[in-house]
Amino acid sequence: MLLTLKTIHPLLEQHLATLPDSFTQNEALQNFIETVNEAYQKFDRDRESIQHSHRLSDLEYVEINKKLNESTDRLSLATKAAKMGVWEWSGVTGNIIWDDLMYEIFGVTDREAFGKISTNWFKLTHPEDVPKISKKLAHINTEEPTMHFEFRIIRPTDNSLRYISASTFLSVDPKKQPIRIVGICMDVTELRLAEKEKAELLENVLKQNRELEDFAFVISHRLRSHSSKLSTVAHVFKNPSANESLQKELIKEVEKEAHLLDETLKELTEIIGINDNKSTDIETLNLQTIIESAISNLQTAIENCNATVEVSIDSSIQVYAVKSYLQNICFQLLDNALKFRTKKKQLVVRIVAEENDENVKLSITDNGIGIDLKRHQNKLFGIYRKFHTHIEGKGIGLHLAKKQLELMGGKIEVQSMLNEGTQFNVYLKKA
Amino acid sequence: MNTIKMEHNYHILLIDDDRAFNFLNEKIIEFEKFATKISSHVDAREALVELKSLQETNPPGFPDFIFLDINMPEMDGWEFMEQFKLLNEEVKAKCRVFILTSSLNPIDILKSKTYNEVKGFASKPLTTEILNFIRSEKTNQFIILM
Repeated sequence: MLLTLKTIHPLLEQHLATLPDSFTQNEALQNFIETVNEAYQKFDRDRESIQHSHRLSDLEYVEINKKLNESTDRLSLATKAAKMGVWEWSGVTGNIIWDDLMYEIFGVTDREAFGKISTNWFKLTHPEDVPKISKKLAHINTEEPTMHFEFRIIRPTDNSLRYISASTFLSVDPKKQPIRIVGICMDVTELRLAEKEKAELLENVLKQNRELEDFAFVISHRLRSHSSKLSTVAHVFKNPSANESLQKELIKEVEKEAHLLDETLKELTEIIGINDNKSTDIETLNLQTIIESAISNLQTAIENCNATVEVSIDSSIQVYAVKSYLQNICFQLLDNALKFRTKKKQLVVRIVAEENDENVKLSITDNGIGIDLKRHQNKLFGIYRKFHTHIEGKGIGLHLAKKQLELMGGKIEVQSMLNEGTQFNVYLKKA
Repeated sequence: MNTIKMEHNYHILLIDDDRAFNFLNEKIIEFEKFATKISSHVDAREALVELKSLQETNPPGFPDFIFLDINMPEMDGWEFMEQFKLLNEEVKAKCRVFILTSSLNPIDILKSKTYNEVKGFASKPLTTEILNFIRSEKTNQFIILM
């Protein structure tokens, strides 16, 4: 080789080694080869100076790292404090990355088994919510990069229903292609349950308000019927054409009405009065005993209408109740069954009790005239509501029974068919 | 001012579930010489049966006035009106229905206005004043007497 180069760049040396001597020893090409050598060397020098000027010093490196860690810690602490799980889904790989809190929120203990497939968390979602979530996720697009939705999961650790609130953000590359979704999840179960409770409470209050208004209206109407009767009697009495025999009849009418007014006021006192009686008199009572005493109190009436009363109550069933209330409720329902029997059939009354963990369900079924629930459903337990002129009674029995039952934490419901019969279901607290 | 008591040949039908009220109202109407024929029912369904039969066999015998109570078991005043509406226009034309009730509920007043056949709403007791009003009343005006 005719080279007079001081130093030959390793790359050039490599190249020259592959060329024939005739080429490398050609005088005319020597300049060219020298130029190439210099060019390579200049490139090396330039590259080194660039790298050198941008190289972080060790100190700078440590400082930047420290700041980065502090920032990450802050974010991590903040999301942990807010109980926000942070997650990321990669559009490229389809994998999901979850932080510790995400696993905690979703109740996943075996992370390995759970894996990184993005559809795995779907399996924890409540089946009813899966369609709406799928729809929402399908709608994520570059126009609406942020989205918020809520869904329920069945948490594997305790099989409980949890409410999850999720927010997502779609991240795109410079070409507006979606590359990943980042999001947070929060367990908002306590919040949702509190809201539900509040809504139920509100509904209860509104219902009670309506009942109270109805009650006030009916009572005032009742009292007014007494006063208008007495006014009418007085009006007739005063008339010059009213003779002695008519007047005598009118006085009787006054007596009758005064008596009815007195009764109305007594009933009023009783109904209003029971609201003051707190649950201090609640005791453990044997249901079979109470029913049997109600039957014996109505023994004469039962025999008179030739009715059969069948009782199927286990002697071990005990309830928490106020004795006088429970006695009244049983008496009232049995009395109703007797009053509303049909002449076409022999009356059969079945009294059955069933119990579960918390409640005792007492059913009193008859084969009497039945109730037109379509017409009377709303008024059935109202005060002074009667649906039959010819059957005696004031129309307060069921109202009182329901009030007493509710005070004891129970409830009453009815099923009936006209001309077939009626069934009252009374729910009591089990002792 | 002297009010001359005019004798009328009216036929009046009273519908009230309280027998005593029907008796008392009859007496009041008698004393006022407001009618020559007064009939009453404690069951609105039976009243309807009578009205339907009058429509078929004796239209002139149809009542001139009906005093109707609202709160009655079996069939209440409103249910009665629903059935009454269905009777022949010619036979209803001479009949004026008045609601006579112990109710002070404004909703009941509004409801009574929804029936063309109901000409007024009166609060019990049925008094001379009410009958005088009815005597002098213009048929196209709805009267409220409380």
